[in-house]
Amino acid sequence: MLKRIIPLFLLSGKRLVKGTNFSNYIDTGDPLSQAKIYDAQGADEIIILDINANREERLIDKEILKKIASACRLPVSAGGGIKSVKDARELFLSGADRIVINTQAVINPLLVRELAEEFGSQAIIISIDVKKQKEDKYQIYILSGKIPSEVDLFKHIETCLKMGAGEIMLTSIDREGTLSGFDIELYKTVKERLDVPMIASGGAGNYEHIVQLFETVNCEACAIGKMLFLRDYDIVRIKSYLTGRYIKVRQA
Amino acid sequence: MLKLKISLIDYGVGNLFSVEEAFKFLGCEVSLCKNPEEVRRSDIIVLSGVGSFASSIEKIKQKQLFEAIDEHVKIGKPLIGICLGMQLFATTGYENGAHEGFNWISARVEKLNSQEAKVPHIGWSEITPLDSQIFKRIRDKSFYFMHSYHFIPEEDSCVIARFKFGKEEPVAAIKKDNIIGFQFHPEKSQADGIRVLFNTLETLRC
Amino acid sequence: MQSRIRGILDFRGLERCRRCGLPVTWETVYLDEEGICNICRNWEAKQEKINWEERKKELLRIVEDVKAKNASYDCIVPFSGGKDSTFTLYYAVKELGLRVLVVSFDHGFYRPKTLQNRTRTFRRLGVDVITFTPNWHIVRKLMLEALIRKGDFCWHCHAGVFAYPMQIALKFQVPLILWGEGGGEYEGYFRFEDIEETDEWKFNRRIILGMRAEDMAGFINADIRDLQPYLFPPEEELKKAGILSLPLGKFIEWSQSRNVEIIKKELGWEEDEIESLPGLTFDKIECMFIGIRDYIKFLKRGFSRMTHRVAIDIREGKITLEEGLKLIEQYEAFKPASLEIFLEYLGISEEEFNKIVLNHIIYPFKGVDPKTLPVSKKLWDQDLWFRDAKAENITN
Repeated sequence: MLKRIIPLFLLSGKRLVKGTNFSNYIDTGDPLSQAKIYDAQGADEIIILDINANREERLIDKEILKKIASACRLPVSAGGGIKSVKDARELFLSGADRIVINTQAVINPLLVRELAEEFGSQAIIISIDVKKQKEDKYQIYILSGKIPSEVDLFKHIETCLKMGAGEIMLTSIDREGTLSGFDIELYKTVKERLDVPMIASGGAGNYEHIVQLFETVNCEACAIGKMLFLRDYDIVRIKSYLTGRYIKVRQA
Repeated sequence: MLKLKISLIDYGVGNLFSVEEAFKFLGCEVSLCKNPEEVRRSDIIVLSGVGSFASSIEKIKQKQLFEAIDEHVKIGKPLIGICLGMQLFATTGYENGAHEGFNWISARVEKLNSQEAKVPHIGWSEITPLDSQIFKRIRDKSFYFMHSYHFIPEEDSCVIARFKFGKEEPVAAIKKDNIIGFQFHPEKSQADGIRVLFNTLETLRC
Repeated sequence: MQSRIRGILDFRGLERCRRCGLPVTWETVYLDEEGICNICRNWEAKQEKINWEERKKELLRIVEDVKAKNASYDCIVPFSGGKDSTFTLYYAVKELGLRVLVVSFDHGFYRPKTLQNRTRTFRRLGVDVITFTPNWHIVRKLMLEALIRKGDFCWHCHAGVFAYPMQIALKFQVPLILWGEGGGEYEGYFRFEDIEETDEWKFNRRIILGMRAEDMAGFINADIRDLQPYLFPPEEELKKAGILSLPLGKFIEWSQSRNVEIIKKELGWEEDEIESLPGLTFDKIECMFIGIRDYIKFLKRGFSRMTHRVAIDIREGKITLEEGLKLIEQYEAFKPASLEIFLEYLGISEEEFNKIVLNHIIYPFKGVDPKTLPVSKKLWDQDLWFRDAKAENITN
């Protein structure tokens, strides 16, 4: 399979935002406009997450989702506030190809099974945000990185897989928005325990970071944020560079 | 551009937006078919689908659409199947038991072999195209896949594309007379996906 | 994080193509096993694979169709007065015999010599011209915002030059828009064999730096109507009006030096000095701030305009890589005298400028201390440039 390069859209209100370590968010544009741009740039997928939905006890905006799905000729995965099969169905009917659950997967793992049985494993992405603790241990944080969870990372992954998760997206809160590179050790450790694809997220700052990720960890995809939105990079250039470094990606 | 009338079967499952927009982009008139009368009036039917074989067939039957769609194909009118929609062309689907499909092609649908590669098969894979009409003028050969099951026909004559899955080469696309099916999602496969749909419509129109 | 070095290292330790000298910090450049860059390889494709006769025939066919429509104008040529747009205009009028409407987006920074070149060109060819000057208050905000977000202050120009002529084409129902060269010449974006239209896809993909007017309106707190000139018209409307937007460089062989010879001879087009190259040049002479643009590239990527000139000259067989590297060493490390004016226009200090730009250094370049750089000599016309643009005068 070809490696997927995925721009990560964080939705706050009606605009996209980008932060550092899950805070200090600044406006990074209009979601539909940005979707058209990344569609034209040849992104492999767009993941859009509403970072306030769960806390505000609502679902990610379906109208925005519909507009994006209509405008783009690529897969769109959406998440933010999904608490039930009904919520998920509303998103699928609004244009999502896959859905992303984060906090709810920790609080109510059975939801993962319900969703997988109803919609198929391939449509369910479990997103996990972690912070590094002492001695190379990682702690899960829920509600957009605000609340630490006592659930062990590897146990959580095991549970999600048992429940039928189709893909895992793993974000390093420490690296997010820092442009300092991926936490390779984290992904290496987790990858060994996975028999489903993995999206690495958090820290991409230059081409070499992405090359190193795929060469060392060989995960299936990476999500990119600040490097695309607030630096002088784009999907076309990233893919061109990766191709030159023998990382197999679809031409932009 | 092709000014054709496309009928999308709406049986209450999944994302029809992308499919609708893709055909609209090609200049087609797209309508959603929710009942058998609408199906019978259709020129070209598009059957997409997500979820499971069993629940899709069940929902199609619940909406009284099964016979009408079957008739449409049996009298020779064109039909395009996408992803699960293509899998429904088969005789039997083996997901949580055995379930009957439309049986337009003698085939069975089974889970991909997780010994060969990761299941579900999600992402962009390169195909080996075996039909020069459907795949003409595409720039690359990669398309977006999102599935755990695959289509296994009794005879290879209907196979027009394959993808690599470990050492195996499962079916990526099929064609038999008036029906064409894609395991991948052409409506989500950017420019090449659009080109494949264009070529398909050109072929079906003749 | 060191990858195997396949190119050659310059005096600053930056890896470059063994053939043309382009460095690995430039856009889509990567080096293959032999240390040759993809731009060189793409250029080889141009030499070997294109059937230019067929392409020209297709162009002539398109021109025939366009003329048959008998529209008020056959063709719009988006124009700045630089070598590319001047050649395109010349070709459209003289070679293709098209009835042309010239549409010029005034970015605000035309230099005196360019204004002369423009007037001379318009009078010698005999064409109708629309020049549009956007709201300076908005332009200033856009420049600063783009500089901060992308390390590239030219957003308003990229967007306006591209979108505005499309709007005019729609307004006047002009069936053809003829641009200059196609992609593939300088970057690796498009593989040269594809015939691509210059359309909204290209606009979104690579012209507007990943930000459209809808995004910018939020960033600078402006009404979307303030950004009207930067909005690409809806695809459906362009399609309905049957408007074709094509790059001339995809239909005829494009040689910068040959094109310049033609416009010099036929239109009296004159070269000028720029800060980043010695002597007179035909390169990017139309904009006051090209020196700043080149300076920012140098601070970000460790190379500048001389590197580009050297790459082209090497590919055209005019100099060797060794000679080229010497020129690069001699001419690239400096701070432009025009920086003073640029900072004044934007209303920021040099410290603020440095802070913004140094945020955008591209790996593996390690950066250079701006304080160590000598200041270039002022251009002959710098003291003629408009100077009432002090930020504090803007009541906003």
